[in-house]
Amino acid sequence: MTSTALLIARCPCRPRPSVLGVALSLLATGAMAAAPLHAPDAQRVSHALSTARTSAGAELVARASLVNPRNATIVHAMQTWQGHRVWGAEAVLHADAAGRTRIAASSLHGSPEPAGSATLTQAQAVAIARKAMGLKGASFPPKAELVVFPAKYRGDIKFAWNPGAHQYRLDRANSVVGLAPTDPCVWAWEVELFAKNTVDGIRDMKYVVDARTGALLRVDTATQTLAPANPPALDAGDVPHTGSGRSQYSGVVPLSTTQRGDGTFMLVDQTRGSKWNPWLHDSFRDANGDPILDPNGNPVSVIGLQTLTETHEGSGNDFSWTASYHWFDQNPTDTWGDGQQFVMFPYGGETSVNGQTAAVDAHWGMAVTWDFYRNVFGRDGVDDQGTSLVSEVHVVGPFGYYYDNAFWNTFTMGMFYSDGTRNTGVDPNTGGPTTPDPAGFGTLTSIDIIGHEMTHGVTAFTSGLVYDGESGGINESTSDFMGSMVEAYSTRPAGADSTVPETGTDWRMGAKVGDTALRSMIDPASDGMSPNWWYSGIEYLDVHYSSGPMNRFFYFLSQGAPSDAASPAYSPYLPGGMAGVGNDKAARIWYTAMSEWLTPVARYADARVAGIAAATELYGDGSPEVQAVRNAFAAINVGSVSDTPRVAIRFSVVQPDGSLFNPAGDSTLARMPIVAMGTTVHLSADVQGSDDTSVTWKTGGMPGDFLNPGFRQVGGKVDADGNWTPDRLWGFHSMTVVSNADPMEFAEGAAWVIDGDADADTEFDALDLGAVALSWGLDQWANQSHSIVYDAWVDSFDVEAISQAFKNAYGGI
Amino acid sequence: MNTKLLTTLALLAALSGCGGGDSTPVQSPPAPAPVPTATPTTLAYTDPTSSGWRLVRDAASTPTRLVLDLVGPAGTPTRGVGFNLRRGMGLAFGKFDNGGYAHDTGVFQLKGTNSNFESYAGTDADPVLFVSAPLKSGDVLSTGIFQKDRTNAPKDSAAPLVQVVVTLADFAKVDPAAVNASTDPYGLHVVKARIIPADIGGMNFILTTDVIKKARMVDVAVDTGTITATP
Repeated sequence: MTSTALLIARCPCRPRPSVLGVALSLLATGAMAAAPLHAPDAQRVSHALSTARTSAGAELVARASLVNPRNATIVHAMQTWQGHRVWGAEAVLHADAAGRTRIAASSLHGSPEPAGSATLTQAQAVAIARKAMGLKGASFPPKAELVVFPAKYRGDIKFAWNPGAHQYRLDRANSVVGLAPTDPCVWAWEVELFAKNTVDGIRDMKYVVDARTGALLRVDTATQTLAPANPPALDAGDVPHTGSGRSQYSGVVPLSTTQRGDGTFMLVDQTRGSKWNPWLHDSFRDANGDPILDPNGNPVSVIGLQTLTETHEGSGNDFSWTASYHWFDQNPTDTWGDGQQFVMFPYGGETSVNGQTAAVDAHWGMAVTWDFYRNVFGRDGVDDQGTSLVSEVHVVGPFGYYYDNAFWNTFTMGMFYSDGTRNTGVDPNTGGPTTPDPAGFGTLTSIDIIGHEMTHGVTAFTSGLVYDGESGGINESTSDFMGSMVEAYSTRPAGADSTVPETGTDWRMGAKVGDTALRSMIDPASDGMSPNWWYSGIEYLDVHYSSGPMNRFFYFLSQGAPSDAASPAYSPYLPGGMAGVGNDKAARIWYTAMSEWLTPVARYADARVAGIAAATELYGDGSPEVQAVRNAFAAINVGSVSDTPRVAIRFSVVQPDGSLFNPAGDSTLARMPIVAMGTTVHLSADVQGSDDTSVTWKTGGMPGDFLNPGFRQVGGKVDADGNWTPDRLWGFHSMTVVSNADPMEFAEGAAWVIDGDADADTEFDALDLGAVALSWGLDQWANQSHSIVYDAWVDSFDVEAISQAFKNAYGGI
Repeated sequence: MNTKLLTTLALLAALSGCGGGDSTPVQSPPAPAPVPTATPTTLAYTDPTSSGWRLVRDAASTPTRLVLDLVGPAGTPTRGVGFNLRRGMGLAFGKFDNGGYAHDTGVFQLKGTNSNFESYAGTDADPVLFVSAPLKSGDVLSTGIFQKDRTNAPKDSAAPLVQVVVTLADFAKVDPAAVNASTDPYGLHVVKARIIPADIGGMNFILTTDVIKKARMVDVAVDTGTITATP
């Protein structure tokens, strides 16, 4: 799970007195911290890059590297052009102990030379990004980088799940519409803007701006960042200690703490981590606001895993609230928490013994997950560099409400946990109590959630899977799986540190924090939102749902699949079932795959290739483990057990490459016709792998199928030839096309039904385009009836859609 | 009153003046365009004489392919226009070289600015909002062309704003007898037309109620000339 919810008001806590000394430099060099594990040899990395550059004929720069247990050096290399990063272009290099290098996976661009020259200044690009972001308040200094941008990665229409409407809706803020560059690669500015103020809330966005025309090429939500606070300083008298905590979800647990010189204890684990945390390091300042330096003149920071909390205060007849930080220290006993759910109402309990409970789960879980990656895979922390991590508990979302989420943030190298809506909280508008939501969650600090969030960090520093489409689903599933493995690992017997136990997880993410689990890896479709197998069209789902088939793959790989059709774990794609390889082997196979074989834009088919390659490397060609990977992927409709190609079916591209709604080829809307009410559109599908290309059309998702619950499943009429006339209902209307040659193969898609009659004269014609033309480039339209999607928010997208609907209805250009 | 009606009345007046007698000129509805008895092979177009919104013959026209320009009153700036043109059964809508049913003359193309972002001196013209196609009935061509950048000035309507093409029907596919029997087989009429006026209120990226009112298109009447189809 990730969240974009953060505080909108905070103030820094009072600065702690600084204590300098030689000991700080020792801390900074890690004398008291764990030694780095398997640090990649710089020469080997350099040699691998050099070899790959020659082989691929491309400029390459290392982004991340690691040494695997077989002593091979793995390098995730970015492609550059004249020193500028080529967006999305990477290669995963494998260099063995003998120095032989191969390119294991690649998304390199064959001809990255950008057209023309970058005539847009950085300042202009930032201004364009600011305008697109629509910030109303102040922002932090922007980050901007001149990159080479392949036009094929141009942004697209994005959907977002609208829980109020219970359907997917157009995510306007993050969608990009318009003509694409005609050149394969262009110069572009990647601009990141971060704002944290009371009018914008917390927002962090990345924009790619064409450096010749100023056009927006891509919009992505970046990871969230927080305002720094002054962490506590340590000195030579502050030594590691082992305390005890009463956790909410895992009983009494040991805690790695620090005993200070005055005898009190704080939640800083000096035994894990060898480098300072970047967020805390940059904010380590004295009372005057000056950086605190060690005797060598370098900025210092506490090294180790650290846990803190937000605290909240509210007051006044016209209720207002503020937030600040509190570091868990000055505990006289090194016993923490009361094991109970945090009492959220009224404010003020965050630093109490009850408030410590969430910190116990977070601090202990952080250490368990750290040890999981270190002891099982030889990985030194999330980034394999030993960078210290931070956990913050009792985080509230925007506007001050607690929310049902937790998240990882790469910028801060930290995890952030909220307390959920299941229990009474503080209404930030009135100061009074909120109404508990029985469907909400308690504090989201169970061990599987902690493992899930930290794994997002591991993914960021290995494969870098883009958090969108199929790669986003694989990203999410990787976190669910590893979170479950961490859950199992937390139950290991003493001394059994180097393997993942074969018991200890229920394969239900977040099962302990609410009445029902967030997700089931055994039967993902039981949540009503996630599919149980892959299909063409899965990329339209939110990544937390498109992860479903991959979650099931992990369960099958580890635990096997039944042949009993009545079992919730049964798969019709593998009716004979399969034997699993167990947790430990499954975890090793996937860690190898994710860290050594996947590129950021990997899809399910690529995951299969990576899984087979990893299992082959670990257990040998033709081994039962390799077959198990094949079987498990076949069970989720990705490939077959014997590599025999299956029938593949997709909705046809209905909007030509380079057209307004398919600017980069294979864009989200490329296979979605835009249809005006009262008109008919002809649907078509592509079938490969069979001479029989006949299909059956159905409106909506398949019966009993949860694959597209978000789209309106209204009728309309579709005939055998695929001529579809929608009902007079706005929005995305799902439909299914099934291959008659193999009815197990199907695709789901949607048509976007709009009200073309923008001028409300009961006729849809070219004049309707004029009625919305004024919306071009603007933000808002108050007259909802003029909106083609019956929404008060009308802008350039509506204008483009009416143009497209007209052409689909009547032809012409 | 369009040219066609004036011509008819003048003709009736002339006829009533012949042969003596006390007959009074009869005000009758405008007669449809003359219907040739043989299958026509050429078209001629007589421009309307009005000075308002009208379709006029473009010099690129040929005897088999009429290119008609939409022009407006001189000195009247607009930000776009859309209209529906109904043809008689004996006519067809032609296409331009790019396959479109209408041609953008470039009046509403705006160089160098785009309302999506800050002004930037680009070298390519910004595309307009422009569509054209026959509606489902087939006998009505709907086209609209609208300026995109609201912060730019409206354009004078005196120059041709958009062009359409009219040809004879394909008589290999259309029954000439049915054509002759149909109502106004060579008639051309604009059945609906609207413009985006110059005044759309103060431009702001947050629309106000006042701006919304001004943004509504304004109905206009577009005069058409007379088509003569001859064998």
